[in-house]
Amino acid sequence: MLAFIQKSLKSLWVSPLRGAGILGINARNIEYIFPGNPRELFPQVDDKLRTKEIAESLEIPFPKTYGVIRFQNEVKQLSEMISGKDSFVIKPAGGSGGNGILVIKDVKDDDDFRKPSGSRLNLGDLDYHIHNILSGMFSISGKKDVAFIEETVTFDPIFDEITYLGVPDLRVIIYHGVPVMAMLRLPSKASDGKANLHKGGLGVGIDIATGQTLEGIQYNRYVKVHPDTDGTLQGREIPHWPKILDIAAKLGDHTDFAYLGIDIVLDKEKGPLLLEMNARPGLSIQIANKAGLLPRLQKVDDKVSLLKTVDDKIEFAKETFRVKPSG
Amino acid sequence: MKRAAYALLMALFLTALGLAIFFHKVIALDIPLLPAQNYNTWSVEARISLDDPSLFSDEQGSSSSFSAQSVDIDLYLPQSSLQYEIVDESFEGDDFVTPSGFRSQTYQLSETDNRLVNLKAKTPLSDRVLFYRATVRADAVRNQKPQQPSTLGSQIVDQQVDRARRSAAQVKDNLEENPPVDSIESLIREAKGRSDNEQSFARAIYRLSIEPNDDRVRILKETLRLGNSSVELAAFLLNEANVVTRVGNGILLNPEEAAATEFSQWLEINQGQQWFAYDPVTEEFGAQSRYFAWWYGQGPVLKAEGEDDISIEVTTRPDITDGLGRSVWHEDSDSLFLKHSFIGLPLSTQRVIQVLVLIPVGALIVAALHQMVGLSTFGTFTPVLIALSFRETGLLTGLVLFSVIVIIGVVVRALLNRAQLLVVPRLSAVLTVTVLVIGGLALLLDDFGLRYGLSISLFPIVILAMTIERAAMMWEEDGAKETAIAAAGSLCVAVVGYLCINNVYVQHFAFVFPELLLVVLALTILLGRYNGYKLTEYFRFIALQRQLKEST
Repeated sequence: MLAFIQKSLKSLWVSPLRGAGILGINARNIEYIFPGNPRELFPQVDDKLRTKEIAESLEIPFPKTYGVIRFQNEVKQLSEMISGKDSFVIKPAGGSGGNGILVIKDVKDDDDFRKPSGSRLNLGDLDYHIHNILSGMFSISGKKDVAFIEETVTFDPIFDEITYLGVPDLRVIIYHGVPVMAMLRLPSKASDGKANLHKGGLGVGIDIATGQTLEGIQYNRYVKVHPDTDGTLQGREIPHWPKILDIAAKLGDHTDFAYLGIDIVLDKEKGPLLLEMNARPGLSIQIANKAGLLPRLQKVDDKVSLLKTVDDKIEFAKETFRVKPSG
Repeated sequence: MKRAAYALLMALFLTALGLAIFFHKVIALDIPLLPAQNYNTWSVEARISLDDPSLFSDEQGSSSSFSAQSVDIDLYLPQSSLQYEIVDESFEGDDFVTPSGFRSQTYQLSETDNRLVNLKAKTPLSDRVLFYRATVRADAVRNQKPQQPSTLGSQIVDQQVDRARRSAAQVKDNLEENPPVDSIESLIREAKGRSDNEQSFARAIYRLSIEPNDDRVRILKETLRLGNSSVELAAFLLNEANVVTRVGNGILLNPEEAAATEFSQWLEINQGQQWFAYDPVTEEFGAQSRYFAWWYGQGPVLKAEGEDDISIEVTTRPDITDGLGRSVWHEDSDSLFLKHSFIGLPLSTQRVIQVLVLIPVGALIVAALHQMVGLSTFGTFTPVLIALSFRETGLLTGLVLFSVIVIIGVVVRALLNRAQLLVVPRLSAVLTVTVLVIGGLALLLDDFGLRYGLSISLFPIVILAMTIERAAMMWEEDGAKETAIAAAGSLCVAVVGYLCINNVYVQHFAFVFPELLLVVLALTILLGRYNGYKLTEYFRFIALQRQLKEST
């Protein structure tokens, strides 16, 4: 009966967005996240330390952790954790959207730390930042949080031409273990070195089949070149692409999330490293890829029962979501 | 799909239940569907406050004995008349011993009798405020007449001015020393010349008494210390001419809420054992129907012993739920819905409920604007609370005050942030700053003679502090643009919410038909399964849509 009502309503009016196969935030939540991502699993992805445990069990590489600070009185252990390190990153375990991440690129001495922008911080500034993290300033829930110190990633220079400060990373959306869409995220001047799209970072679509970059977007509008470096965005090859697809598909297959975003960073020597997972991945990826998610998700729904192994799923994704050369 | 069906079923059930009770109440119990247009019922509240000067001079030994005296107040109470009936009344005040059996007193007294109540207070007083509250119902038959006197009428209607200073003894002395016999006789003569019976004589006297430029009237008013009261002068003149008169005191019940209503006076003459009130608008004598009668006589409404500075302030408020009030009070209905109605609760509780029942409506609006429009706001339900506080301040004042407080707060928080405070102490500091800003604004506004001082203090301070904190955080993390968008979104939701919950019909339906909140709940549940696009997403995906259109 309900289906009939819906059908007859649809015959009256279909939203142009739905007609274009674009997934909206309400539909993402109601049709994919609520049924596919049970609430009790969220700590696995909201807590980055647990994400690391999962990655370890699946033999997926991730940036090394130097130390964990759980309580205010442990803050003084910071200098111990970072002694002898040239660079490090302080992160909140429960942070979201890149908030609360402090990158120290250069340690001059015990009390002189330099951010990628060159600005100087002293040990007190770092302590204060960790105190803020512990009191839950950056955590999604606002609850008490944990800070951890991590090695910095030496980015693959392949993205140097199209990166302004900060960390470029890759986002892959997987649905029932099948990589359905991917995007390269590039920091810009506007985003203050962060790769977040809503802060002005760039998103560049990726052809799942080949790992070739497509057109880029900034503030939901299409751009051909990076506004700060003038590097062309389209037609670049993402290194280690098969490995990236493998990591994404493996994580999708081994966790109980149906709909998951996976963030990967490329290290010059170690290759792809898992940064974090996101159970509520954003929707701008559709704009960067010039494609709606809905048809892709439906194709996965139709075929998923036939896809047994991780390799099957990757093959299916490559075949189905290959970008046809536009005329 | 299963869940969607479940939500739909739940929503249908709630709607059916809510509407069933609603229609039962409208059709079977005859509860009026719309808020009363005629305002048949009023809430009248007299606030009696004691400003004891001895409170401040307590340290001086001489006055301590004075402050130890007990307070004894004689207060006239309003009386039911042909026009207005007192349906319910009560006293509220911690310090006062209300006369025993007050509630069981019969309210319908003979028309000539004043109702005098003696109140004794325990000293020292802690509260210093006493409330008398009454619910007054107008007789429906008489309701056709205009509620407010015409401009002419309000000019004529005299107001009692400062009669407490006038003492009868002084008047008597003045009369003996310097009897204004000439003026009195001249006025009476003139009035007699214009009239042929007692009523027209009284009318003529009244007309003369209200003449402000007549020297005789002016002299008489001065010597008799009548202040400005033409009614009392007319009564005095008529008494001199051996016509039995009395002065009535009462208040006008307006369709609008009126704070600090003043007592008005009117003249009555006695003919054949019956009192006829003079209506200054129609200039006719008849049963008094314009005012809600409080007491008869020329004395003040209250006399207090042991208390020098005492004041009374009367507030009237039309009750939009008139019809329901009547059904509850006057039909001995067995209906469950009438027996357990919000209208039956005490007035103070009703006031709280009236606001409470609006919250679901506000929450529905927030849900709709969030899921269907996609406005970005500071916190999810902050805008509803802002909207509720706008009820106290009014929309424009509220918007201005809110913006000013939040902007000052954000600036101060930026200064605090330089000291690198920990999160919770910083929040406490912001809260303190908010209180200080509100206090400062209250003083400032008071200096400028604006009377918003009280209402801003009702602004939920914690909400303001949280808004400041969120705005500042957003500014740091997402930049000024996002913050401005969220601020505009919050205010937009707050304004829409305010316009909705401040609507007379919404208030009436939510309060009189709380079962309709089940329908609100049903709509909220349906919104919870809304999987369509937000309005903002049409803009977000506009470039993508264009691209997709081009490629096909």
